[in-house]
Amino acid sequence: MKTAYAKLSIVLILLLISTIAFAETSATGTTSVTTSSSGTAVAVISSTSEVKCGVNSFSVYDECSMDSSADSNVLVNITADTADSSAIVSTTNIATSESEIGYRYAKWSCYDGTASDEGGETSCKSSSTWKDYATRDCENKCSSIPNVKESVKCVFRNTETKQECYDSSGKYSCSTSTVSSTGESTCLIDGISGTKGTMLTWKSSCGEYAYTTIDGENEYAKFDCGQGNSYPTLDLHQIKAEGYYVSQNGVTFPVCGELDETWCLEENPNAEGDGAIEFQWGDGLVTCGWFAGEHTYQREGKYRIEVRSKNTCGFVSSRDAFVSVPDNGETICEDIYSPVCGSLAVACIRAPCDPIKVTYSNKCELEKAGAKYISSGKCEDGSTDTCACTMEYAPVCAVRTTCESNCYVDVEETTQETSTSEIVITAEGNYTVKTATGATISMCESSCYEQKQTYSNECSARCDGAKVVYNGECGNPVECEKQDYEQVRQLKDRCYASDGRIIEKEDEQGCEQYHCILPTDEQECTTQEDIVEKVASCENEGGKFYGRFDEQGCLVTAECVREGQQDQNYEVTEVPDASRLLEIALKLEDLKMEFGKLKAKIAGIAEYYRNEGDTNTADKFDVVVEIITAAQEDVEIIKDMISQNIDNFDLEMVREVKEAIRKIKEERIKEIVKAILSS
Amino acid sequence: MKKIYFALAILLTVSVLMSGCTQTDTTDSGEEKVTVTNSDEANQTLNDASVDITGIDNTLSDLDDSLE
Repeated sequence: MKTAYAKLSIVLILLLISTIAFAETSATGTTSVTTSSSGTAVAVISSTSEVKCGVNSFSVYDECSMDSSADSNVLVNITADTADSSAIVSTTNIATSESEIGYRYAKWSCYDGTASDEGGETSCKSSSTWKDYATRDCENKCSSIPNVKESVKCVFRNTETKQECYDSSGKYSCSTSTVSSTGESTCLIDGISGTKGTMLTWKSSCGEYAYTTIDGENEYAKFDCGQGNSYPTLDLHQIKAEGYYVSQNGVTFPVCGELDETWCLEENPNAEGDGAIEFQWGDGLVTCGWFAGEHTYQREGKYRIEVRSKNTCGFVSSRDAFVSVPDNGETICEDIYSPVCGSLAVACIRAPCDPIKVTYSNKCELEKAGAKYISSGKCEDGSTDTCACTMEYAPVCAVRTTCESNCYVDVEETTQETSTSEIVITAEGNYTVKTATGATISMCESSCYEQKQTYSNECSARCDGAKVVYNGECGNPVECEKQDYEQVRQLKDRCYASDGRIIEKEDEQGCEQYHCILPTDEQECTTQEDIVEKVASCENEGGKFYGRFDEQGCLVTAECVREGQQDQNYEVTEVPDASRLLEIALKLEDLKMEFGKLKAKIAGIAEYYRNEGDTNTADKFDVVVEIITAAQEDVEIIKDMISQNIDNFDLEMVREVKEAIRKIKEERIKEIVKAILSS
Repeated sequence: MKKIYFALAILLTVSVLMSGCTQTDTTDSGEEKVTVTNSDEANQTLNDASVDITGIDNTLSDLDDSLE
């Protein structure tokens, strides 16, 4: 019996070894094939370093004569390997000469995953003609397989407040949770992936910018928050788009020295134009010039426009904007409610008649309708609104964004400039100052705010320029709606432009949302002077000051712990010695790995649901991945706290580390579980 | 004692065979990548994730204790 056990054990161990060998094989980064429960072979392609562009697959079908359109269902397939060549695979059932054969339909797919199915009964074209169409359509469409991963640590110097950094697409972000006494703080963004060589633009909440390139190596995005006054100001106005033509206006002011009029051409020798402002239009074209920058795209698509301005002190400011160029030439306007009254010409049947007044949700909509601008705000009574909705009561809770402009001229600051320049008052009542140097200084400040209200139906909300948050009356939410990246990015841009801060907090419906805290909202917070006074008073009495801050950064409790007095919340009695610190550091490493494993599992589940077409569930798990990433950053911060203070690790540091651990345990874990259980 | 080793061997083999269904690869940067191909695997992976969360919670408690 013992021998039988031994033999069976050997067989099992061999099986175990072969299974592990199989797992090893699939970990080498090559294509592996597994079998699903249904018995279907599933190819699992792991990441590869090759990025392919152009036509992936191509086929023509429904044969016809180029002269007589004879019917014959012949399918010609050209695989990805042959799609790049001009050779056409010959087919059977071809009675006529090759030069006369055509096909009514063609299908192709590009390496970026887009697919086309073109043709019609009268579209009898040769294979090579169809192939040309496919090649043009797939030009610059590349596989987006992420082939490089890295981390970026955002480092903020000369700052006394918590900071946040995020990339220009809004995909990656992190925020600091502590502020060190040296004025330096950091946060880490893990899992940045993309094509090698892709440049990332990082913005910080203190207004500074940094740039990194995805190359597989961990990098720093460093922001000197104390140098903000040396960068040129740069603000972009709303893009005007008409078909393929776009106009990007804005304002820049050197702050230090003058605007550098030569740098743009020096950096972009092939750029068109001449001026201090660089416009990268997102289609590969760069122009140098002044506001307003103008460009005409060659094809439809969504483009990211990056505008940069440099002063002679060597500081560069950068801003970006997105524009959608539709394929039918139609202008797409943003969902911003800033009503304007316009005059719309109407055609009368019997006799000429006057134009009618129409209220449009914003100026873009007015221009899109071809109306003439009359005034800002709604038209007076008797005007026509652009919407007509039914009386059906199907309430929705919607948010309307209202933007206001407050314009002024800072005479003291601009006296010298305006003495040789021109002040222009626009139809909207905005002042602009054209200086002798050619730069335009805007004296307007715009601020936007959001207001939630119940509308009788979705149409009414849309017509009022509001965006539906959920079905039902406000105050009775059906479910929380997560803000998408684009919404968050826009909110951040608007908020930071108004010197506000972004925080995450529950709204009145109990949904976690990003909010903008404007300086005017923070009046009830304890002021900096109060804190300084309390710290000074505490230290004069020989104690140490401990402050707790809420999510808005307001001081909610202030405690002065005197020598010998024990903190009731954190029963810390001794500072750990070197061996215990090592033990803690190893546990933190374990923790980071455990989070990494958890993240891989959740990301795998999200990917599965996305492949199955269940985007809602996939998005839910994506949220969990984000929270885990945030938790990993928290762990990294704790590690930094320990490593940077290894020589002066005192009771205060122990308390801070314990507080950070408590935050992960009580907040992050709870967030993860809540997100997984959310419907 | 040998019975225990035998049972452990069976358990290990079965668990490895089962984990072969939910494929775990390692990317070039050394991070794990889990590939889920059907709903059973999705459920199993979620169960595994819940075990991971419990482990993380325990590690956090250990860390907290280490500082007292």
